[in-house]
Amino acid sequence: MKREKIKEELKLEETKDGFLVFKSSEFYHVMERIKKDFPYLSFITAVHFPQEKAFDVIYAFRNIDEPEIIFLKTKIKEEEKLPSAYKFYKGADWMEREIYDLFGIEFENHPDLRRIVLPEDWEGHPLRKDYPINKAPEKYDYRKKPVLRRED
Amino acid sequence: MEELKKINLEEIYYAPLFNKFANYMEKFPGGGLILTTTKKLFAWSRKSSLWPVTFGLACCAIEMMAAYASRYDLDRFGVIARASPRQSDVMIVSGTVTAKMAERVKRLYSQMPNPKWVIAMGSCAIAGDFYRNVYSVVPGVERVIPVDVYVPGCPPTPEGLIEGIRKLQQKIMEGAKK
Ligand code: SF4
Repeated sequence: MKREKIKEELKLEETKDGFLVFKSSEFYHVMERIKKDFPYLSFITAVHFPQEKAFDVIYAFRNIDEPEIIFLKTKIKEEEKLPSAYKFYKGADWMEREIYDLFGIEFENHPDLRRIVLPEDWEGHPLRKDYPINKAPEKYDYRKKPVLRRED
Repeated sequence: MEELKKINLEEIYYAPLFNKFANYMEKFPGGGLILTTTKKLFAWSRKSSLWPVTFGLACCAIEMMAAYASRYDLDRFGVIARASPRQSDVMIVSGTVTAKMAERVKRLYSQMPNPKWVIAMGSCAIAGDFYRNVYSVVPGVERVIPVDVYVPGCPPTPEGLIEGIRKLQQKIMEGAKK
């Protein structure tokens, strides 16, 4: 299996549930190696840990020749930035924009890091655990706007 | 001269009219005359061809599509989806309205020519459903545009939507009676 080969080559640790953990400082090195065997980026997602003030960023790659999937995980602090995978996988463009939009993780060398799901002038990043569920900027808070009725 | 005086004036004026309509009276079932006001006539023609904007927001849109398709066939009621708001007169808001979409909904609505109506389909469009308190969701499309008919359900069945359209048709006819 190519997954085992990569694990040995890059000396990655494996967690109980099958994630390979890498350091964010080795990002380009790891991506370059993975691109050779896993040419398809399936998705990127993140998890917020408010007590540790940290994020887990999770990458899933697929092998097109054989039915195989590999999950990679890296931990970064809240104020830290992560390099963009756009250089290796063009599909990372919108996925990273979505993570930036909802978690506020910034990706270095991303070609166009803007919000993608929420309006451009939104404040805050809603999928962070410390974001209140119903907080919205004044302009978009329709809960405070009046109900419209037909005149006739 | 005397002969002329004998002629009934009423006959001169109304006879052609009666003669003309006599043909039609027989053709109408029951043989009666149709008497109406233009207001009612317009309302009747409007309610018989309600054209909605092609526009779906969330899971409710799937039920709306089912209602358009052959099994439920909204064509029977003169409901044909149009791909442009400028040609439509009813907007079926089928699904969750988010803060970002609300501006688009408002814009589409203002592009529709008068007279126009709105059907809020599903709990989401009515009051936000269980997403009511979520940061990005509008709790009911009535905060963005005025609504005429509310169709409850999550999602409402195609029959429910058809009932909503029939209610809107009733409402249009009742509006003409005033
Ligand atoms: S009312 Fe229910 S079915 Fe309709 S859009 Fe909302 S969640 Fe989906």
